[in-house]
Amino acid sequence: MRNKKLVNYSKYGYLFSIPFILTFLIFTMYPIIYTLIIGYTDLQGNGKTDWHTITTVIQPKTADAQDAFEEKAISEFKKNREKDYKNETKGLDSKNPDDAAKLKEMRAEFDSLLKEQTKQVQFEKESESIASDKLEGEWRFKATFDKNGDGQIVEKEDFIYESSVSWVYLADPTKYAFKELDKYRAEYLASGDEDEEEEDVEADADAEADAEAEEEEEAGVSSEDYDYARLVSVSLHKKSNFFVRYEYNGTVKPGDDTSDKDVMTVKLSTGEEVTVYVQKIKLFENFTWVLTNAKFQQSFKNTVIIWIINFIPQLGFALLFTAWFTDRRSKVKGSGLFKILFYMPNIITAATLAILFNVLFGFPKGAVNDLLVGTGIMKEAYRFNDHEWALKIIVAFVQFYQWYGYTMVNLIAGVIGISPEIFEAAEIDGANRAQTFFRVTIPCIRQILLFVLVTSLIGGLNMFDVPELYAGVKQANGAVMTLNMFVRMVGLSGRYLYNKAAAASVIMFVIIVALSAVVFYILRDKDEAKLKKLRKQELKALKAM
Amino acid sequence: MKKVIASVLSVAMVAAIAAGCNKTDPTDTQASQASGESQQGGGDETDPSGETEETQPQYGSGSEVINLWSFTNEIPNMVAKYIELNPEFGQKYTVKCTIVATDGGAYQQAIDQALAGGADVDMYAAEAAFVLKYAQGDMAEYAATYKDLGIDVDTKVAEAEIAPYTIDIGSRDGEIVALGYQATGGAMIYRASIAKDVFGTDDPDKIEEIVGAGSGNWDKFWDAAAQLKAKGYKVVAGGDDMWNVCEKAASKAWLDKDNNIVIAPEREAYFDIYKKLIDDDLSKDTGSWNEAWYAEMGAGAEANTFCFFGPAWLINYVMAGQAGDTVGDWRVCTPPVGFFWGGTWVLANKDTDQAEGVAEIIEWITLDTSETGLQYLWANDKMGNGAKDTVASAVVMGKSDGTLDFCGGQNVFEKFIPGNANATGKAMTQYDEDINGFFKDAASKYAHGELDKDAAIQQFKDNVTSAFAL
Repeated sequence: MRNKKLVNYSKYGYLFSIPFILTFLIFTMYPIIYTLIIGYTDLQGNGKTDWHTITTVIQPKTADAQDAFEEKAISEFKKNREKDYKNETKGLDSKNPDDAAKLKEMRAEFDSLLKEQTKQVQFEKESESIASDKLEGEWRFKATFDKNGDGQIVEKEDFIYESSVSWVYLADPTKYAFKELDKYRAEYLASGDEDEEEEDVEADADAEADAEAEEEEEAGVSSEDYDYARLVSVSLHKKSNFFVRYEYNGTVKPGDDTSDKDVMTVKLSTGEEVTVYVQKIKLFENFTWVLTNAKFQQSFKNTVIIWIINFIPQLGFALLFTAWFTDRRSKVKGSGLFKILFYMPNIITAATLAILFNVLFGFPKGAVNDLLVGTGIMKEAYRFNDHEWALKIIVAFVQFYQWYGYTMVNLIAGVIGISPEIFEAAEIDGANRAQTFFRVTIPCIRQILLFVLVTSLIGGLNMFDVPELYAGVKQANGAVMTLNMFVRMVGLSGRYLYNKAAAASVIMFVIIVALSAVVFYILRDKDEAKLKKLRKQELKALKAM
Repeated sequence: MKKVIASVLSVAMVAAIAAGCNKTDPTDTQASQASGESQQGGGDETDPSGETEETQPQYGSGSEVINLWSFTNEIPNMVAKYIELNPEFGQKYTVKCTIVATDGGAYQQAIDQALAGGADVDMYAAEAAFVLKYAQGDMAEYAATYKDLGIDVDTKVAEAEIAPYTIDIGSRDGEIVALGYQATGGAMIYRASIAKDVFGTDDPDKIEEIVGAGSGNWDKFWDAAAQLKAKGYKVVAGGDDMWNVCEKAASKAWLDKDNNIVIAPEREAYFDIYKKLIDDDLSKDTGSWNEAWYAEMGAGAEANTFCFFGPAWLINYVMAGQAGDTVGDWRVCTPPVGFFWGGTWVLANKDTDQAEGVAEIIEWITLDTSETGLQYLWANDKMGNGAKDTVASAVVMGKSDGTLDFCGGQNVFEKFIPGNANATGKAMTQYDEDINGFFKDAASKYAHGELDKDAAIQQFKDNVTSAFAL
């Protein structure tokens, strides 16, 4: 019977663990793991800084071939047009003065149109062989690796790239504009000489308008209607993997260290070969970068220093006020009002405090400087914001000012929870105020103190709003740059290095967890732990019976 | 009962997962995932009820919507004016403006997320401090060339005689993607009464001789400063005033194409300039954009600064508000070293579906030289904000009247127009704002004697390398 009383779990209690586990997974583990994953990649906000789009590689270096081909195409084009012109002017005789004028006009028109259209005749030799649908989508490279530079070639076919291709589409001028012109010529020739000049002018204007209309329509016409596509660029992006590689293209100069780079020879479908240097990202590259970064180390030092300077007076004052407000022997008049007033600074936003203290400590004119100079303590105004320790102390003071009331309220709540019998027993035993406070109160509020300590530690290591708004990361060579400000500087400004910022966040998380665990261990309730152990042993013994 | 509660909670949690899954497709590449996530975060930041200042005025009543992003209400006001002058535009289009102030990098973050996330952005503005990033740098791929919008840029730019540096900065691979409407060539703005007291004259041409205007060095300027000091005046308010001149007069950018740090000699000279200001006590060592700096523009008892360096917008938008009784006591002359400072460029999104409407507005703002074009209105105080600003088109400047009461009736355009010739965009990088911040801090340390020059330069280089992973 005793067993059943000791073990009294509800039958369906386990159902509650489901939402708890889900909450933990979604709100705690998912963000942490995702951040951790980003810390292993080369993800960057603007995306392109470390990706070298391989446009120059894929654009074939066939300038000579291209020129030759263009020349050939243009000369053929011109020949065809001359043939057409001859056909048009077959019926006209240059000796006849009327015809001569017409001939002149037509010749001029023809020349100008020809000039325009030869400009449009541009070809990419490779575009003939690489169909556009082949360029889009996935590319599988058959790449040959000279991994160690020792001439030993390894073939791999597993480089998968996502390509984005951009084309410029051109209409075959021979097919469109002249076609229309032909139509008008045919009409004109068929209509006779009467409305000759008018129609000539009209035909010109119409032809021009048509050509323009063609150009405008070009934008809306799909690629199948076009004859030539000029390859502008192909960008290759490695499809995202867990570990992403940097690509280098031609930025390796002779004499550079290529020991951490693989040499990759890419063979294009045109038969051309191109060399690309591929650098492997080291597994912990971002994390080591963060840990060895001078600014990160400085920010960690700053965070700890500012927190310590802030926390010791904060706890001291809070304990002092707690002792005074919860003293059983003397009642402070208006203690409720005082508690409210002490808590008020916590309500002021960090931005307001930053402005207030900037005005107070401004240079050369500021309230504190005026006071110091006016009373003769200092000869000239002091540049508070440019000196490292002055800045640290000011920021620590602002934090203290904001949070001592909050700490005090928490401690008072803890003290109120102590049963008055203990205090009476202490009084009977003859303890004075100080002894009561240090020997009775503080041990009894151990759990609350643990809570205050841990939350203050976490908040302090995450310190951001006040130093960022008051000074920023650059002031006094980063005198008040905290860990959070470092993360923001790296990840959310400048080059938007999300990967490195994520690595720094994960490191911050680990530090905070470790330090909190240390605090928990130091302030654990040893007696209760012993009790639990004893109880367990008892249960075991009972069950065995 | 407990069973019911537990099962309801479980279902709610599962529903939360399902909802979360729809937003992020696991088969997306990491980049788009990250931008999607960050856009959600960005959405929180630009929440109108949140801390960053964001307003959304709207002009016009048409069915087609043009989305305009800006960091001040300058361009939205221009749009309002355009609709006033062209009502049929307002009947066809509605222009929705999103304004996010640039403090703390909020505007850049917001527009970056909007562009990368594919949000509806048709037109957006970029300030000189970061325009390179949007015209040539990391975000340049989202900008449409003016030609693609249908603006006949090449001829119009030549016709309007747009300042070359505006074109340089706004060009990507030789194609114009952004143009500024202001020309922010800088000049020296000095107090006439102090000039009379110390030099015996307040005539701009004579003052130019005294300070060595256009000489490219500060030698005569220092002589003048010593004279001012003898009579109890300070030549500038603080080091930052000289910094703007040095920074934009540089011949080389901060980073070369291999991302090595390059310190241009003009910028390195700032170290010694600042030190001289402190050692010889020639300034009041205020920063800029703070109480003490503003006070020096006014008529307070302690305000005894001789000059400021800045473009026309410094007069119109900063000093005019602070001048108090000194209005009319200021004059403008060419500075010893030419520079430019600031400016706003207008860009269009290449994925906009309102190319026609956007092209119309942009052309009116940046290339229209007629008397109803924005530049003429801007330069002749016809926008109703009491300011006469120098604009990008030399043609418009030529036919505009630049007499300002603030400068005692002087035609300031005569001095600002040559100042524009000094401006060049060749020495800018997209990270200038941050790098400048580090440099100024190092210079401050050197000037106040806390570090020697080599240590200060080394500190600067270390900071930049650490912060930018170069």
